Amino acid sequence: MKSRDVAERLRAYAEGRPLPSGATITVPIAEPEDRIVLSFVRMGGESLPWGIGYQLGEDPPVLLSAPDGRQRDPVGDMCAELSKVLCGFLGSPLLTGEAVDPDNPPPLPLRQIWVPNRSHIEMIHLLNLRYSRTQYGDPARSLILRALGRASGFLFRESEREGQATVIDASAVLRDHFVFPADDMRQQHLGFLLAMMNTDGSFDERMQAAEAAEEFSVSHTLTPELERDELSPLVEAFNKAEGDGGAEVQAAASAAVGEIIDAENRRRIDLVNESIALLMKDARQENKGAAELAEDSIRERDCYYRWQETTGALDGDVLPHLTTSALTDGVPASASKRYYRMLAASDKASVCLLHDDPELQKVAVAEGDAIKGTLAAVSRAPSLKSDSDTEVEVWRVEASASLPSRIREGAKLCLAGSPDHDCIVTEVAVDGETRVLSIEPDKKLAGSLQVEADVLLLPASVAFFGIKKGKEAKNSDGPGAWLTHAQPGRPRRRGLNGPDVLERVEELRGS
Amino acid sequence: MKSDVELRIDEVRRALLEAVLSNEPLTIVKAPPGSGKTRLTLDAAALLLDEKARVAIVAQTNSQADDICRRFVEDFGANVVRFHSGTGLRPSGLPDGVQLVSKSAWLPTGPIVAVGTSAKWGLTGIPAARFDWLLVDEAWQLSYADFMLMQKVAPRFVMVGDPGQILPVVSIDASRWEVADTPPHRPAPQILIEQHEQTQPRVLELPATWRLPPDSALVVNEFYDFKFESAVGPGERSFSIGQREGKSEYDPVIEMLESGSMVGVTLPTPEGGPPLEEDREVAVAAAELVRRILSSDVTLRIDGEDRALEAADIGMVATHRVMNTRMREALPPPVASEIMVDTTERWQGLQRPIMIAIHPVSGVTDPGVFDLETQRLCVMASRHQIGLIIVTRDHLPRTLHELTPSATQHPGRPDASGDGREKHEQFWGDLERAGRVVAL
Repeated sequence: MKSRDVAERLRAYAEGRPLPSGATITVPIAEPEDRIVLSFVRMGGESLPWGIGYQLGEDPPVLLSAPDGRQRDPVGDMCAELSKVLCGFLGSPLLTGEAVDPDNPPPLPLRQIWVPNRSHIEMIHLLNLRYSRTQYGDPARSLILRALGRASGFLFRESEREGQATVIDASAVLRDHFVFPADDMRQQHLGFLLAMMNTDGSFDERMQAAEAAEEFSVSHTLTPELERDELSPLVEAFNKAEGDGGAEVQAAASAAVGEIIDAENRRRIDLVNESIALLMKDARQENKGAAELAEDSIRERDCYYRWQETTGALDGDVLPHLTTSALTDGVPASASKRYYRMLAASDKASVCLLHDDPELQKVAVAEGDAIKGTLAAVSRAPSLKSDSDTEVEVWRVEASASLPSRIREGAKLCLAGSPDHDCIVTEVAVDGETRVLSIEPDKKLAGSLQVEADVLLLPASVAFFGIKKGKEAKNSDGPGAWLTHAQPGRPRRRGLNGPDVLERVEELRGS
Repeated sequence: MKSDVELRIDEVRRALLEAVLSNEPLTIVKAPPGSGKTRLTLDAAALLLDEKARVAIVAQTNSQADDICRRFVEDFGANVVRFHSGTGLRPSGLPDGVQLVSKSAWLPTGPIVAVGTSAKWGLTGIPAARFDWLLVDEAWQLSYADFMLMQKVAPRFVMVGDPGQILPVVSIDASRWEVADTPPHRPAPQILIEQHEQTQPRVLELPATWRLPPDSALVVNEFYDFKFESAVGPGERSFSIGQREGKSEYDPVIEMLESGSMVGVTLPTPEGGPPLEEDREVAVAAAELVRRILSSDVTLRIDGEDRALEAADIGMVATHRVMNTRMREALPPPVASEIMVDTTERWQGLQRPIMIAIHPVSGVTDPGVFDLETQRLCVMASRHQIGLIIVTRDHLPRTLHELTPSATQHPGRPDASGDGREKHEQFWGDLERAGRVVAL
């Protein structure tokens, strides 16, 4: 934990309540019809859901369960139900039979999947692993389950991309926007966080409500007592009756199991809805950069999910080679491409929110990534940039040297509020207690500032380079590709340009 | 007459040059700090140029690229192309003989040596006239992802680097790729060596450091998986204190540099734990050490020649920028601008006769993977030619000894936390066992 975070948490303890963190809401919240709240419950020791709850927009929640979470057919049926809703929601025409041109799909707004906490994203990952390549059972159903596997794979991978706005972990969003007077472990519990937020009164009263909320699980696992004392006997009765031919007993046991599991998922969905409501009524404005992140999320979904699905729809299924591995990227070029895209996304997420949030700007200055100072002088001098030999405006910016700084010669910055115009740092010097920067601003900024004006310079985005490198990483037509791009496990020298020595000697022999 | 160690260094140099002359497609040289990596790269480039080859040299930063150009012109009197960014700062202060080129289409045809950063080579278009060789300097700082972008440049590779250096900077959670066959975030030569059955590299190891004194080389060698020693001969380096006024609590520390090159200094850990991140008391102690050294009439002997110590002979390093800022603030104003105070990352490739370092685990009572990575400590412990003083809170040995590293090891990958804890403990233990830790 950084000292600033410690100080903020101590302040929250001193005030006895959660305090806002940041000056803006940094996550875009989609329209109700473009949101699904999703929740899972699983049986202890199992990796697939025992119950699924989802709520599309303002519709009533749909609650599904299997009588025994270990039986693959009822669980598969339940997951197939989810697949039909989820894949359509994300814009896949595969299950609707809609004719769509893969390269020109109809526009689809940002669509979000909200979950109570990280464990539900892990369940999405498990669905991906389990179903992406399934051939089990009825072919029609396995096709639907494979579609769920792919959708889950996309969602899981996307959830790991910084700044993405498609898969939203409600408790993480609350932690991002508030400082809670509680340790890290307790802050993983969505019920705890909401009770802290929504209870009026002293710290003790809030903590009492939060502790009561903590008694109920919000992850995909159930409270052990509930599973052991209430559900296990019902499951046992259900299975025993199956052998005994007791259909009525089975139906009763199944209904009783469903009632408990549905209530569990309903509670989780309610907590997520409460979180959304809380964020929506927050007095803070949505950060202007969040819209940019939403656009990126739409692009990512259309590129890495919809395109594959629409292509697959033409053939009736998505080919196995289009099913991206959930765990890693086996091919070196794919791994590098994805790595660069993740770097670019991380840069974009950190930079684009800065311009509209004074609190984030303060953090950037304190961390040494940004600089706040005064424009001490403006002069003209020959440009030091590579692509210019004309005389340009040069700013001398002075700031306190008491704050750390990672800004060096050659760094690209931009004025707060002007992210599209780079300023290049041509010199950095420390003169006593003053840090002096010489800056060559973008020509469009020339004359925009008066001497003695306050200046806040933020890091410029380098996401463009990450995207470009990602595209370059796929190219393997160069002379060095025999080494850089070879498939793992295969000899790499075979493709080296120029004849092999044995080939050469054979040629000599022939001549 | 060359010494035994110099002859062994020459053997490695000869092996590299013969490998390139016989068109070996991949040669990797593992080199300890201060062993003449860049010189080796330049040797290979000059020889290949003489063979009428087109040679691309990859540096990791613009200043490294400029330095390579400067040295190539100075050492070999040959022309060199500085291939640089079209949108960043234009390289400056380079000697005649360095031609600046920013577009691949403008690269001269025919035999040349062209030097650029990995970012420049990676983002540029495919040159019309491709290169015959790609020589990578500081190769352990080149990630595999960046290495992949070099595919368009040349078919043959020489990679020279220091495996003890800080790994390529990764600003995202890269755990997803840890178990991939070619993790894009890890050093390219490391992966190519791991996959030696497929890549069949010729791997060479430079056997000595020119920078570190013998006792330091012995300690620093613990961070490496190959053996090296110091090429510094007896009596070639020394630190002698002359006349000084009064007494200081720092004198016992400074006096120890007369008898050995490494000293540890501990400050008591405050009750309730050390300050987080910003430990002003430790920063002030480091600055006071500098002040006292400068007022101790010190004579340095480097490579057999005596001279008076100057402020610029001292460097200061801490992993956190805020600590560097505090150290700089605490330095006496007349010398503050002459002493380089910077992070470990920025010190890579640089050296000073005397270094003052803040131990990376000082003030960290619950070290994580980042704190336990040995590369930062290794870089800190290998920048000096004569003496190194490492300052820390005295909780350090206890923290390391009592720590149970968290199980963050990925399948088939080294245990970074466990190995790191062990090497940290061994490093500090070596100093303690040698009686070279002074408590203030």
